[in-house]
Amino acid sequence: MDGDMMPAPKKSNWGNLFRSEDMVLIGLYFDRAAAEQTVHELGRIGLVELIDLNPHYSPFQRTFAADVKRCEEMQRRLRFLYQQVEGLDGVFIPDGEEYSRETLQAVRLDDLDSHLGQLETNLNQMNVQEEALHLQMNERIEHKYVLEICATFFSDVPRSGGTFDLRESRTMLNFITGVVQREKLPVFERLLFRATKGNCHLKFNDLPKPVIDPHTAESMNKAVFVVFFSGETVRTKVTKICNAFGANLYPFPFSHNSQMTMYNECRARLNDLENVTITTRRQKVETLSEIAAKLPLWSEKVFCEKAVYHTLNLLNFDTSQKLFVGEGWCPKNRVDDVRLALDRAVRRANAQVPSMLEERKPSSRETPPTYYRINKFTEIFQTIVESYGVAQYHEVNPAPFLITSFPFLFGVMFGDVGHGIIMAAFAFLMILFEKRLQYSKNEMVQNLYKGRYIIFLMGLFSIFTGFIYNEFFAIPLDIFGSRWKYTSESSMACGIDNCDVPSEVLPPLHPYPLGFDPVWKGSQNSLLFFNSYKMKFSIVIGVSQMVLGICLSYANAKFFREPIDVWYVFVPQMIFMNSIFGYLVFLILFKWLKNWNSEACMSDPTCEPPDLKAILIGMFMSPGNVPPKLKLYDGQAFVQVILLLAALVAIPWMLLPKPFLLKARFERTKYQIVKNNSDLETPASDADSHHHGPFNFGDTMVNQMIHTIEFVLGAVSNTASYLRLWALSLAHAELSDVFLEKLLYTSIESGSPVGILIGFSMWLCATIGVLMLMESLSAFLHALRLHWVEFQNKFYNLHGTGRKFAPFDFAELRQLEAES
Amino acid sequence: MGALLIGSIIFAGLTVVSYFLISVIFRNDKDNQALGQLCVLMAAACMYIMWATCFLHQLHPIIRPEKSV
Repeated sequence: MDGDMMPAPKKSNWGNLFRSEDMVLIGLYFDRAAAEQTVHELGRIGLVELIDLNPHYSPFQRTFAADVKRCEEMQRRLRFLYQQVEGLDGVFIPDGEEYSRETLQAVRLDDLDSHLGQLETNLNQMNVQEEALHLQMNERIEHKYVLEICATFFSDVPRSGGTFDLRESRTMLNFITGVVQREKLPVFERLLFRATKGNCHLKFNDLPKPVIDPHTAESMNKAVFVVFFSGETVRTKVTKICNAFGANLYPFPFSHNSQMTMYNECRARLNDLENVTITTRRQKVETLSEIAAKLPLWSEKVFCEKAVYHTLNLLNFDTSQKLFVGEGWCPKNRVDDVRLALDRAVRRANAQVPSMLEERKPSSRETPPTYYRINKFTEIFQTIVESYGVAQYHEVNPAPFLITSFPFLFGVMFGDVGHGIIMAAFAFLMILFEKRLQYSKNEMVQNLYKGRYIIFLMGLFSIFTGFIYNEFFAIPLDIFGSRWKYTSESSMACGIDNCDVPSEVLPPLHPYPLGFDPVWKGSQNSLLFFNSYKMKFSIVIGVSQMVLGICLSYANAKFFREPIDVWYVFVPQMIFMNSIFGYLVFLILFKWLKNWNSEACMSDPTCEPPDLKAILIGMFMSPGNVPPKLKLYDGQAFVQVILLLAALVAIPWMLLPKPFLLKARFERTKYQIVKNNSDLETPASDADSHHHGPFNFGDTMVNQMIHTIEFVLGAVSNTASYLRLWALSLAHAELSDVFLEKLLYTSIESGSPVGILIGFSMWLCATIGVLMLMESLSAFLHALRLHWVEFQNKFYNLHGTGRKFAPFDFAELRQLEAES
Repeated sequence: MGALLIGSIIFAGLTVVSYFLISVIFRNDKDNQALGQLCVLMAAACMYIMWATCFLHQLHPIIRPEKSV
């Protein structure tokens, strides 16, 4: 009882994907001096999932909270620098590479911190300066335009002695000059007119090219304007309106001379400003191009340091002994690698105290995480399974079965040799160029890239199912020669080797060897024939897959040493499933094997193929009574009664014994705890691995009831659900047929080369767009559903999902950061 | 029925050959060898079921192809 708390049964020899890796709980002890190096090494090998030993501390209360914060600040600064560099033309940041430990070591975090701080201040200063310069420059440019354009407004004013003499007029005429956005001008004019009750005059002229507004720094079309008015009260009004419209006002002196002086001043100032701007800009470019090459290294350094401090925060720190204590999960067969990593870190840090690693015995409450060693081929299948739920520790993994069953079921729905070849070739190209596609940033390309192996297999199986359905872009392939021929005696065909009396329309003695006879494709009743086959095949393959699923639940029960699950779950489930749907498969096979065309049968009026659905319904509705129309073999009534009884018995068998047996076992264990109460450790029965906490009979009963009802009803609905294989493959065949007939054949009949070309390209577009993209997606989704629901619910995640192994791994973290 | 037997024998033969080939290719990698063997068996089973049911469906057909008008 106490000896084998963790069941350690022998793993099957079905490979590492069948069940998750054995995990061990390890304790780590290392010196303060070696701490950073050790954690860094752990991040590099990525094999240990460290457990948070300070779960009650908030992030701010932890030992290295300040360091994490400092790293975050540095990351912010680095992001700022990246932005600055990216804003410049001609300066490039090299792609991040794999930096060696020594290169990273050479960068000191303190130096980098102060350096980054300084860089930020400098750059901010430069930016402020540059902004101020730009503002001044843009103001001068606008002013220059005002001086130039306003001069033309005033050129027709009578002059006396080189000055405009507005004072000569009867009233004092004032004016304001400035620049306003072109679009606002009409409204501006109307408002001015209203505000001054018509006592003003606006003259304007567009600027020859767009200018940058000094205040908003946006490029816009503007116009120079002059407002003439009289009186000081009007001036305040006009000025207010100008401000409201974002017009920039510039002085325009009366006298021609002062105009010239102002104009020259303006130009000289502009020139100066331009020079200063260029110098400032050059300085900024120099500063940034100096650091651009180092940015990836710095980011990497800060990223690693932050991860290291973050991880150190998970550990216990013994202040008196300057010792770090950590605990984590690690795959059992990689513990030695972790040990080596610890030693490397100690050597590198020149620490006096060697680090220690011990394997611990996990308490029964800590279930190890689930970890599979996957490769680039199996990755996608594992991903598909885990999108539904993560396996519990050591639970049977459906992924190895998916490798063939998933593409196969897809192929059943997508059966066409031509389409299969296109799909397989496309995926093959992706596999061929996988190195080049790996770093593609395009999300669509990434998704296809991830699925390249499954798409390849889907294509291959589609080719096979295409041969069975005998479709090549919806054209039947006559490889072996049709076994049927049409005669003049009858509208129906007869077998080529069995046509002595054509009116008897006897079928061929030797049917077409691979797939459907090509004669069916063109026949009037082809759908009837295909549908009958596809429905029956869906049932056969569906029942086979579900029975496989139930068998896998047996593998789980056996592995976790749960005899209750074998005898009171697996066995009745098998009986129930097989006595109804196994029997249906038997009926299907029997009907196929019986020769309905033999002379004995032909002469016997009662020898008529029965409706299998009716037989199955009759088996429930009127047990013990088989009408002659539904009779397939002798003793059918008796067999059906027995099977029905077996199915009925299986239901309470599934429902009742398990909760009572669990209860009895719980009471037995409780008694044993009391008996050896010297043992203070929390006891856990070896098999009770997924029933923690106090036993609640009510809950267990309800749970069992749900499982039973789900299975019994599910058996019916899941079998029916497999008929989607028929529906989808029917839809695929019909669609490709319609495209072929309506687009390609019609255009060929038209006879004109242009028409054929158009017809062909339309057919190609429809084939690629509708069939290869949309239809394949829907077939994929239906295959997904059949695996997630119909297959996996028989054995997978029955006791809740597991937890995925999440090791502390730089590579993984980096990818996460890149994605966010 | 004879053809069904011959076909089954061909399927079985191909399965054995593939199983053997996969085992040889991955002889140094027990995990992938097991995975490959499972895949071969599963694929053989799926494809055999499909072929055999299709053959059986045409062995004693209940309907005959009708000329389309």
